[in-house]
Amino acid sequence: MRATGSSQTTTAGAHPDLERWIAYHAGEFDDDPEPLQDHLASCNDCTSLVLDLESFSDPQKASDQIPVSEFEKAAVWRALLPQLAPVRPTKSWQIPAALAASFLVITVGGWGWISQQRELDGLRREVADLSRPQANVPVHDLYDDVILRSADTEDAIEIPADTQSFTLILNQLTDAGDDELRALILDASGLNVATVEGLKLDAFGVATLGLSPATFVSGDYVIHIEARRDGVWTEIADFPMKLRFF
Amino acid sequence: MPNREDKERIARAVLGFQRGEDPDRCFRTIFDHYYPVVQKFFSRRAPSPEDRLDLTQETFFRVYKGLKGFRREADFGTWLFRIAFNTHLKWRDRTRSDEPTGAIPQVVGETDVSWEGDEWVSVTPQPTPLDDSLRQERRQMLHDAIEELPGQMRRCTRLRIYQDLSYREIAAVLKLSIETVKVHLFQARKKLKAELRGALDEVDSDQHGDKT
Repeated sequence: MRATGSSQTTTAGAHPDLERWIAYHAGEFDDDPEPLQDHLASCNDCTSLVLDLESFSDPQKASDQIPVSEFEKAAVWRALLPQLAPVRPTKSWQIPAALAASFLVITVGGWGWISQQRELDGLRREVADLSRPQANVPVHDLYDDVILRSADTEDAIEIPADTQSFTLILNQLTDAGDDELRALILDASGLNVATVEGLKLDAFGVATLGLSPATFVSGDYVIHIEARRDGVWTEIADFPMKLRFF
Repeated sequence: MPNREDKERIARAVLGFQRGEDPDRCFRTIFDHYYPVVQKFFSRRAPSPEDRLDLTQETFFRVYKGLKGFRREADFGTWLFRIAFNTHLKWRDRTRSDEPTGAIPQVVGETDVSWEGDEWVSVTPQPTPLDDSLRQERRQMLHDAIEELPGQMRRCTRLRIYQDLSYREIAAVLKLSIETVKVHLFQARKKLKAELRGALDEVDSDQHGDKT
């Protein structure tokens, strides 16, 4: 800042403005400083102002000569603090970071939501497909291996590859009044490939299983029927079957 | 010149504040450094301690609010001074006071002065009519003699006699070294003594003659 203004009168009656004093104090005054200095020599107000400017430039030096009440200073600071909170500045990277975080949340959340919707749509389609009446759905009767069949029977259950479901009828189960029944379908290696909970027996001791071919490949399986008795799952029957998809 | 270490400390605090790195701690550094001069600034301008504290608080609040936008190439002390100055002006407008804004101005030339050894001493006026008359005459003579001094010597003398400034303050106001101020005042004293001794003797003899 560089002030000019030689045209301005600098008598004791006309005070130069603050900017002229700031320029004078900073040594950035282009004009002859004598009129200003004459004014200073006859004006207490402006002399005080220049001395204040001097003390603000070097507070430490000035502070040595100023008695400061630490009590008052602490009181001013205490009164000041609550006013500062609403205007407190944030870190320079906080706003971009907040925006980036928001963008990330929206993107991830949005992607998650879209994925979930796709999955739900798939399930809805599947349920709809399964709910649609189908012609010539394969239905096969099974009997407890003890009674009729063995696992190595050559009579395979043949399922068309394009079928969406097939039904097995489990015959001659003994109704012992069990509340809970389930079917565990084990492959030849004994691995459980499917579990059907909540089996119900009809009045003739028959339970029906609706299965999806997607769960199985051609091969030997055992349908292991269990009843929950006294809190323990107990085997009540085994139905061997051979599946062949064509 | 300000201490370089202090300047760097304040510059770091300003930078830290502007970057949002613990702004209250940075601001506390600034507050501690400038509190004495701010409260001194207002102690000369606000009549009551309450006003002084309010104005000091308001000034620092404005500093806090404006610090983010402070251009670091500017002088921080001068920037803070402007805020204090404007805070005072606004307060003065608010209170609609007709009182003078600065220190109570002394009317130049009305302070009586004498020497004590080699030092200037301001003399409190006595209320007797004769003393008043003598004092007024001596004052006028002193004033006339000071006005005859060369420029910088005259200014140093006026600041010393009429505004009671210290050598350091005169040096700061007139942008001179303290040694230069001392030399100017020493020479002024010699000139004024020589100038006024005869004249004062004349005045004294006239006054005594009138009396008798």
